Amino acid sequence: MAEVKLENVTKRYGDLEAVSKMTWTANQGEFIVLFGPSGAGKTTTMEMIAGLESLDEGEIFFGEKAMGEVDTADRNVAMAFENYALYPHMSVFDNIAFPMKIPGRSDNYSKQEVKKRVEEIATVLQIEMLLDRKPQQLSGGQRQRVALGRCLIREPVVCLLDEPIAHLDAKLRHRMYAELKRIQRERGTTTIYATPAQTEAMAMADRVVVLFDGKVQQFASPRELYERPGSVAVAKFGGEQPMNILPIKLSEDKGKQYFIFENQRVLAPKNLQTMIETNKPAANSLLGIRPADITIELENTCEHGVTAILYAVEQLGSSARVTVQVGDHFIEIASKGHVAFEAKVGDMLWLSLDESPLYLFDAETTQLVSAAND
Amino acid sequence: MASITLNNVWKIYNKSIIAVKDVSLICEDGEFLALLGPSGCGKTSSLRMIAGLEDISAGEIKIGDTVVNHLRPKERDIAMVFETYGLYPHLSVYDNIAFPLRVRNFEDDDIKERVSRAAGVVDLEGILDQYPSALGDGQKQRVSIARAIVRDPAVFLFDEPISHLDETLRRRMRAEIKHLQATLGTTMVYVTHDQIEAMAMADRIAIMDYGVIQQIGSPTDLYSDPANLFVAGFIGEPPMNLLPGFVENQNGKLWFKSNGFGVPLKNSKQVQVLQARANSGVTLGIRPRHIDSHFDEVPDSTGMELYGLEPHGEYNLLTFKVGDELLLVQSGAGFYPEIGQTIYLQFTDNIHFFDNETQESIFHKQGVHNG
Repeated sequence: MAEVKLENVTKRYGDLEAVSKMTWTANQGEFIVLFGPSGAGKTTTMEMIAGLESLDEGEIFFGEKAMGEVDTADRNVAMAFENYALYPHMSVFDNIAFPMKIPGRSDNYSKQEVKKRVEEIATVLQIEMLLDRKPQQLSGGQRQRVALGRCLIREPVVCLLDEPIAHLDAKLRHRMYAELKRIQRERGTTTIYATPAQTEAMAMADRVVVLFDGKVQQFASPRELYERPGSVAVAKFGGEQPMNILPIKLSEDKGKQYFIFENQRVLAPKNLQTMIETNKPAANSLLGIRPADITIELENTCEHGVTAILYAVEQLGSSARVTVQVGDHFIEIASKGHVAFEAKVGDMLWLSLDESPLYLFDAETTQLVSAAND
Repeated sequence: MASITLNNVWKIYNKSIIAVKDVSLICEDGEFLALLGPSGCGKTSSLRMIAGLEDISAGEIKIGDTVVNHLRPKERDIAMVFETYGLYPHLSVYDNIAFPLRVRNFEDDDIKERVSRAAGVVDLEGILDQYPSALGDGQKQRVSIARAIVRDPAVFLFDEPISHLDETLRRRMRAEIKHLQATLGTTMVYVTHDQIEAMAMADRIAIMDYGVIQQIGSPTDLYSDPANLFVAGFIGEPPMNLLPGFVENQNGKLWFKSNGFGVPLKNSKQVQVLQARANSGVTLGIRPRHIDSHFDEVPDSTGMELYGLEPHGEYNLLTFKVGDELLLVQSGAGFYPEIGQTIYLQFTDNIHFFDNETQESIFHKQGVHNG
């Protein structure tokens, strides 16, 4: 077990820079999630940490030791990648036990010990009744869990997991989040987990590396990512309710602050006024509002309202998702509970921002200028 | 436009495998009906029988007042949108959309007007000259939708049209399809395995398992009054907690007990219905958001050790171990307890009970739910 440190790590494939000057450190025992869309460089990063890919620039350290010249086999890394890679001729038991039985390894285990450990892990992963089966007799989700079991059975320096939970059903997924996090905490294994799903990143990570186009966008705890997204890309990407981003122009008239959005001039709500006074942002800014923070009015009673056209209403049982159109922009609004709406698609509505927590981003750099709770 | 009626429809493959078992349903004129269920539940076979792509083994399907059992697909006045788009790679976007009109010998002027109208509805005006290979996934699916609406068919059939798209695009397309239905008012049958899609878009959902319709109702009906354990577990994310146990009288109160875990039942109407089940096996169902969590003890609460915490931004999901099962509890956004800390859980009376034998909901249509 050790910290894992990436310093200016760069990987190129021809002209394409898959990973650019990546720098971050996973502390010993920390659960790090690499989160980003497909093609962001997550798997390449994992492969470089595992020693399956070479680096073009930079260095990776396990503790104090540079990994540059160290082979995969000598790095003591446990891996569960998406394609499972189980041994087809071995039973589930033998697949999981495999890392404990590699000849010549210093850590020799007795038969009873192997059995005990395999059964423990299998129970946690709910595959204890499948131990005698062969991989081809298993479903995709079951195979994933076997691969995960094989990874967890060891005590590696670092555990690398590439979307091992992705294909499980909802109930089992929540169970796996809790169990995986639990095992990781108890063992204190430094773990790096790659996923394109925000839910997964939020559910398990101590800290999240947000990756786009091979570059680190933000490295922060899930709570911080939500409360202080560093850029528009982070605020908008994935998740159940990505933030709405409105391009606005700030203007002052007779001592009052306004913002202009899609030709509508709206008196700035109080919290936006405070942001403008404190941060003196550029006139061209981006206003971020979460779907749950917008109130819909059927009549124009709000002082700081934006006029919109109702585009679609989706009832989701415990909540509803309303999409409205303002000029060329679609804005999503999440409302709690069942919305008994008198309005029909095409009707005019008013969006009240009076009480909304707001976020302000610079239009040019797309970096955060000010967050609601600053 | 037209309604769709299925009367006692069966689909049996190879004389032995029952894919669809005695299904009867009506999709009203202008209604958006989702056929929802896991893979192999019979939803796609049902849709393909409506489309005429599969023979009907027994029963009757009507579109409007016409029995269509023996009509070929092109005689049924339907249009289908598939997951795989089915675009012709050698034809431009314009020609792809125009295709169903050309094979039916529409006039050129008429074709031009209809294609431009259909393209306008799904925002394709700017790319009519392009070829499918140059388009993104969302655009390809829009072309396939435009090709479906260009003929003004009586019925649209959708077969998992957006399930392979990425999350952002899927959300966008969901709103677009919903908008389309609100503006065109065409009857739509939409097959999906994704309960969120069905909940978000459909007027009513027919949820299937093992070839049998388990329940038909509005998204809200299915969510708040599931007919059986299957529906309860399938609808909703995070999923409903289902705790097997039994009810018993103790100290003048009726309790639900499971793995050393007890919940006193407070709602008198619910107690009345459940009294008859005392000492028999039932499963309690409660959604994660219907359990309140507190740092301090409150009346009728149970202290439990926090097992795991999933922050989701908008809310946090707390997990607890009840025997071998995991209990999910949804709390407000600001609630960040430590793992291992004792949290006091209070079950609201927004609960369900299921008979362990029949798996049917004991409260179904009894009006004893709270909300």
